[in-house]
Amino acid sequence: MTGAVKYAAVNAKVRGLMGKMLSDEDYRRLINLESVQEIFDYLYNNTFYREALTPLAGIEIHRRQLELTLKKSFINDYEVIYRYLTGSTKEFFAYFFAKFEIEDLKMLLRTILIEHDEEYLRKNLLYLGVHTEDISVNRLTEIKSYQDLLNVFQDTRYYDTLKRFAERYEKDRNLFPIEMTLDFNYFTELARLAGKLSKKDYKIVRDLLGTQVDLLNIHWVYRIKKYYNLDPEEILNYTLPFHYRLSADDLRGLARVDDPEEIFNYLKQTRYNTLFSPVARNKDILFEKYFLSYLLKKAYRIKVAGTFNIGIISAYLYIKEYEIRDIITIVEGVRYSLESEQIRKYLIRDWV
Amino acid sequence: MAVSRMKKFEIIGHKKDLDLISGEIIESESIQLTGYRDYPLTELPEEFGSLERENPYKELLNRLTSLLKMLDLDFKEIEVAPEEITGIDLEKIEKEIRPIEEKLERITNFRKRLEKEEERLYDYKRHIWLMRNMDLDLAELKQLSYISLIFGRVNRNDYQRLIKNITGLPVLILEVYRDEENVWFFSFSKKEYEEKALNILNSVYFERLELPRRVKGQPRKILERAEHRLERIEIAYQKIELEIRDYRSLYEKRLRTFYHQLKLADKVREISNQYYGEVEHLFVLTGWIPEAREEEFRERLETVYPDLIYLSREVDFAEEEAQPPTFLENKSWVKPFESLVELYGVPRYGELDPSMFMAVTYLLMFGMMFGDVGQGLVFLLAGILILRRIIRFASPEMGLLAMGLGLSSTVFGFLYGSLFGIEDILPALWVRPMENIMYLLAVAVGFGIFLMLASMILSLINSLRRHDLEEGLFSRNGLTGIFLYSFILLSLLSIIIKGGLLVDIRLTVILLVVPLLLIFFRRPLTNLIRRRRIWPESPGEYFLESGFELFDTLIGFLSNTVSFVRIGAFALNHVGLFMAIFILAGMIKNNLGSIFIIIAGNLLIMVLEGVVVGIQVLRLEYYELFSKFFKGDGKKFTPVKL
Repeated sequence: MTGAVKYAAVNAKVRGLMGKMLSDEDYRRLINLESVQEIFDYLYNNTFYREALTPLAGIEIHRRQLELTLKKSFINDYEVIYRYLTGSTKEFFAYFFAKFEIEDLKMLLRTILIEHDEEYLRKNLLYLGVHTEDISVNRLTEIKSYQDLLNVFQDTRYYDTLKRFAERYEKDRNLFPIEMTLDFNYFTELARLAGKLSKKDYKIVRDLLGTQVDLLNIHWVYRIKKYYNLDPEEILNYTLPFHYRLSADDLRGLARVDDPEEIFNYLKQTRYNTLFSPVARNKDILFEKYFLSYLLKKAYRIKVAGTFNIGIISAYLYIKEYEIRDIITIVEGVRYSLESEQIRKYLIRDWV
Repeated sequence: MAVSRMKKFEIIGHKKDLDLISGEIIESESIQLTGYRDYPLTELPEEFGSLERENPYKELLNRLTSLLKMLDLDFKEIEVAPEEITGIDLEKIEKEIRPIEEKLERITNFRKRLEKEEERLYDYKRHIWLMRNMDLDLAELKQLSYISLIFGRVNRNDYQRLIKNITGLPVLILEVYRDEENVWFFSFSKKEYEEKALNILNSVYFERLELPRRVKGQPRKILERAEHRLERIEIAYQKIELEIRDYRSLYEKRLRTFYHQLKLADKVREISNQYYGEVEHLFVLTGWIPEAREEEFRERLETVYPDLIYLSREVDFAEEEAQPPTFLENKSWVKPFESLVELYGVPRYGELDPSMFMAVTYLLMFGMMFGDVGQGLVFLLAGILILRRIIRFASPEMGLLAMGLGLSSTVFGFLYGSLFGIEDILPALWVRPMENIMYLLAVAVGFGIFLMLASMILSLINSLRRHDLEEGLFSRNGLTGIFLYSFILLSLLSIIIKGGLLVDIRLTVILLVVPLLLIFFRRPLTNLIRRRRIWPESPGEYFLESGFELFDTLIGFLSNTVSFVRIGAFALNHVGLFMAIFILAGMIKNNLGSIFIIIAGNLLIMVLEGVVVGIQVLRLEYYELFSKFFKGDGKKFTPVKL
């Protein structure tokens, strides 16, 4: 009953938005187009993105501009959904979207502190400065030093982390620990907020986020194994301290294998056995795309799995994010004149 | 009810006067600028391009801002005359503030060093505290031959990970202290594992604490020394504070003057870059100004800068594209209601400003629903206290609102004869709600009908001003609606009083059906009069929508009218709640207890019912009244300000 009251309106809204997403046919057409302009025209004339793309109509299209506008439209959708939420769900999703803020913050750290490219920053901010009330884009682009950064972010939830690494950063100019810690904190806080959801909602969110974290960890271990030479304990310290279907022991085992390719054999002993057996056999499969695609399918399953729970909203947010990622992949592919077959290989929705 | 009349103006002047004129505009705080090519009053030649100048003030302004912050000074307004900005000598200011900056920086750096030392001392304290009873020389710990000993501090979350992941290594981690954020620990390992241990610890970003080279002696002695040093640091902090205070009083005036001069100059650059156009030695700017302020502004400009060109014109608000911004001007007691109106929507320029209407009806309804001499006076008193800033609660405007509500409540209290819920002290000048329930409810509905008709008439006026035939003549809030609504009411009244219809039955049917048909066919009818294409583009959709609206109209007449019953109901409710309180008080044998219950009950009713009634009235205003005549799609007037 409570679910019906809580989710009736927002689910209707989300279903409305769902209905407007691209069809598989749209993707098949898009990958066969010849230029960024053609992609723009197709999206503008045939899809829901018309409204979002209106400001770009009639001017020469740049790839980055198109990408950015698409991402912004996603954030706007989210803001619409957010207005319909209440209570713990609202709290959860408010924080869920902090990931865009964190991505912006990471970009800010790189562009301002390392590259000193204010123009790039000004053009590419998605969330920070745009959807935050007390921090304007101008204040962000005026940041010159780490101390300025601390001043601007004084009243935000990121201050403690930034402050903590201030001295270390002045010494070694290394952003890695800051970025890692921001991510850790994000997932920790998200897990805490998920715990406050109703039991049914928690199960759904845990399934999605838990799987995502497991897969991120596997991916991360694989990459460290492949490109760096670190001790297993160090590798573990760089993984996210959450476990869903990949237990802490599994992860420890993964961190201990000698050869990166061994990882896939090791995964056979875990509950991700079936998921990774194709990757173990076929070296051509792109690892990251492969697991995103798994998450996407999971989101589709969750979407139809029940009514009046958090499922459809979370599913929508995943599906939509991956839709935009795929469009961007297509734009990039077309821009660099890849064959449509090639582009298809990079798509998250691998059934197209 | 006043939406101020606006005029669009355009100024073309010499660039040498640009900064001064801009300064005047900012100081006047009553001008909203628009892009120089947005509906200009004159045909501007192609050659006009947008004005762009460097802003040399920004950097210094930022430096001044941080200086003021460092000195803990506020940014309170200082009057700066526009003339001052033309003479700003950036170099001079820079020269004057640089030494201050340098001194302050030295102080801050010193403070930072102290803070670091303080932190380090606390770190030692935590580690050495554990060994305070041991009889050994700490210097020996630094040169162990077989064991590697690392002192460190790490964030709590990271500590957890560290402990979880380190299990496979022969490294021992021993926690010595923890607070909200951090964990202090020792790590022991064999010498050959030292590097590995350091790698692991680095991957959780630990902070290594080295024992200083000179440290030696008993742990207890070292603790004492640390304590002593910490006290010294505390004293140094106080000295710094004093020094900063000296600087503050010494430079406060200068710095703030500079700040405000630069702020104004910066704003001038900002607005001129954003809005102005230029060609050769001329510049052009356009904007909106309230008509009442125009004369003074214009005269001032024209006397000081005789060779500028000033044009202005009133804009017809029916002219869609150049809709002027809305500037509401009301008497101070109506002001609080302005914000409530804006909560619903900003009136469109040319529309009636509903603030006054709302103020009067809101106060009346509130009083009717919450009539009590005692409680009303309490509200009034609270309002006065808030207005005089004796109670620092909300804004002075809220005080005014509370006074209005209190006054209205008091007046109705006398009419109902109610004092703090006690009904037998004061005589009722009009009616006692509980004794005349049906009468009161009927009066409430009657009042509602009056308000409904009033808002329909307001809608009529708005349509007239907008030249909106369809809405004015044929809609349910226009002429047709007014007729239909009054006819239905009169007929019902006649049935009740005379026992028969007002006019013959056939005529009644005709008089009911014709208005309904008018409402149903309002779009084609309007088109007919306006000599446009009669049928809308998708007739199916139009008739479906129109059909539903017709249905909604009839239901709406009924439900909106009945909705006003709540005015009477809450008046009853007010008495009812008190009856409950008095019964409760009566149940307690002891007098003191009864009095306590009556006082607590009064407070409860004042707060609880005050809020509920306030919201209910707002609901009536928004849904039953505003929706009839008020579109609220205007743009708010936002003058340039510092």
